[in-house]
Amino acid sequence: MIQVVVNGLVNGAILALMAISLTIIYSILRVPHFGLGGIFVWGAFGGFFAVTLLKVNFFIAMLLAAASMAVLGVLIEKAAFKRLRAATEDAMFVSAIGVLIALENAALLLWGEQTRSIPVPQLDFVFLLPGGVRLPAMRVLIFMVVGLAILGLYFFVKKTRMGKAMRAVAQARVAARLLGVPIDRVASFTFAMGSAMAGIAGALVGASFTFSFEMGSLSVLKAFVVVVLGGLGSVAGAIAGGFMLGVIDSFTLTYVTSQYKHLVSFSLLILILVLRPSGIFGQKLGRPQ
Amino acid sequence: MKIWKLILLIAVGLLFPLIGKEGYLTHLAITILIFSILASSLNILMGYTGLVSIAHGAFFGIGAYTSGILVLRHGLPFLAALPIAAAFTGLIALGIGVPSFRTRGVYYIIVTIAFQLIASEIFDSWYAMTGGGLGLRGIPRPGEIAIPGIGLLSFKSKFGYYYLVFTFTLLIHLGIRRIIHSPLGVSLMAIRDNETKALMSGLNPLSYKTFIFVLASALAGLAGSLYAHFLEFAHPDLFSFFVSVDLFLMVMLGGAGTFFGPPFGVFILEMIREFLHEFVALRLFLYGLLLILIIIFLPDGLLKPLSQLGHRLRSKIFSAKEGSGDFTGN
Repeated sequence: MIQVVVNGLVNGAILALMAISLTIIYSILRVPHFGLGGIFVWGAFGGFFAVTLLKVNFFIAMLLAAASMAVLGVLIEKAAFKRLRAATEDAMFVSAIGVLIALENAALLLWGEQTRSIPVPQLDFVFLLPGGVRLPAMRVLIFMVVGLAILGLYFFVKKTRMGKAMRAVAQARVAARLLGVPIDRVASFTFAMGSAMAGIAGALVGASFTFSFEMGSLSVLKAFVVVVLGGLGSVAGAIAGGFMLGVIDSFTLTYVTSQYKHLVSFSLLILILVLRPSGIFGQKLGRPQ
Repeated sequence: MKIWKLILLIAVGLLFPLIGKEGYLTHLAITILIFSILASSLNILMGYTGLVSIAHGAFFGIGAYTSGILVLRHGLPFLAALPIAAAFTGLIALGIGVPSFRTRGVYYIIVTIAFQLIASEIFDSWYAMTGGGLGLRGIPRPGEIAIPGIGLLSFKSKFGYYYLVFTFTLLIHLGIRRIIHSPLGVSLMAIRDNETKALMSGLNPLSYKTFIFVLASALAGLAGSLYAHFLEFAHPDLFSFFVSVDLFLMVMLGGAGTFFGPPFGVFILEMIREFLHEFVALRLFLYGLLLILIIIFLPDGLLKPLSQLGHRLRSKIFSAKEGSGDFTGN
């Protein structure tokens, strides 16, 4: 029972990280960036090759994955979204789906379809908690990294000049632009930040579980479930939603069904979108258009 | 489209199996026809009503599995299973459609994606019913029917089955054309262009959207039934998320909201699929890039700019012949 909750919380932490990267890009730039699923996959591969080919330790590998995904994220923004800035959200969403499919299949083309796992021998031990709960060290690391990433994001957005610019763009893009906020640079920074976080999430999943090229679309949709659960644009909501969905998933998997493992979360998504589109934690603002 | 062009198109369609015979060309032609039904029915949603759906593959699959299971397990004849499959698909669409129309824009698209993934998971996991990852095997082709004056037409052969599919494709497209040019079609386009204004003009967008969603999904279900009995097989991969994206891309590529665009898109993508059928990853990678390129550079699809180019060339040639040299455009 406690074990199930703990497993759920660990998954929830990763989901929360993905959801935050999705929600910051959406709330600042209005881009529903499902391409982050592809970044997530590439982040896992980045971490894997950093550990196996460059022989660096996992922490540095994670930073490398984050940095390279930030660069990739900026390139994607320039290629796939910059020209669509005046377009509808639907158009950007289509482009994002294009990015997701292209990235996933590029990974398949480059590295094949086998399932891999990032080896982290330093963390190959298990904490035994009272009550017989097993907590692998890797999972503890996940909590720490996710916590650090969220803190880092918080300080960046609240305390730096660029963070201020981001908030300005999120509030009123036209006004921000009139006052001289460089939209292109804000967009690049936002994409870099979101992509770095998705990359870290990928590397963490790659190290604590297994990964393959096709995990991106599912995980980004799950992250979206979390975003919707928590209320769009709310980072705190994304964190709470992440833990919630993680625990719900974990319970379904253990006690209800392991065959239909996504059925519950996707049904939940449809239900929330239909019944309470502002999310469980978001205040009722009327229907998002 | 002049009437003689339409007649030419139908004539080519009717005579095609004489070239294709039992070979691969006929197989390909049947696939293209079935996907044309899918793309054109999706086009009523995307192009004319403004409902972007990434769940068409799911409805396609529901039709295919329903028809296959009815014939295989319950011994129904194909001609009974086909309408039941279409109706059942429409019923499911009614169930998912009515609540989902409470959402708009990106949220609506995401609801359709979630539904597609749920359907895929059910196709994949409900072994007792769908055969799971092994697929549903041995769905029979329909038997023969007697046509007065011609004799027996057997659908066991690709040659015969082609005509069955061709008839459905033709009828459905004529029906869709009628809808587009009817008051119903105009109402749908009004809803697409501005739902609030449509509401103010006394239309009830919800009932129009529900009706057209159910209709389009039932057509997808019908296409699914035709497809399953053609391949004599149903498998979750044939109705996956990627198939929905393919269909979406077909409509976008040909041009959403044009009548001939989506079938044209089907033709192009099926050709690409033929050339790259051994390189699935490469093909999907290219599809991804294609989606981005189309949405950025060709939001009207390929057909419109192509035909405009054709008009321009033609008017240039004609004006050169007349010797006046002035370009009036079109």
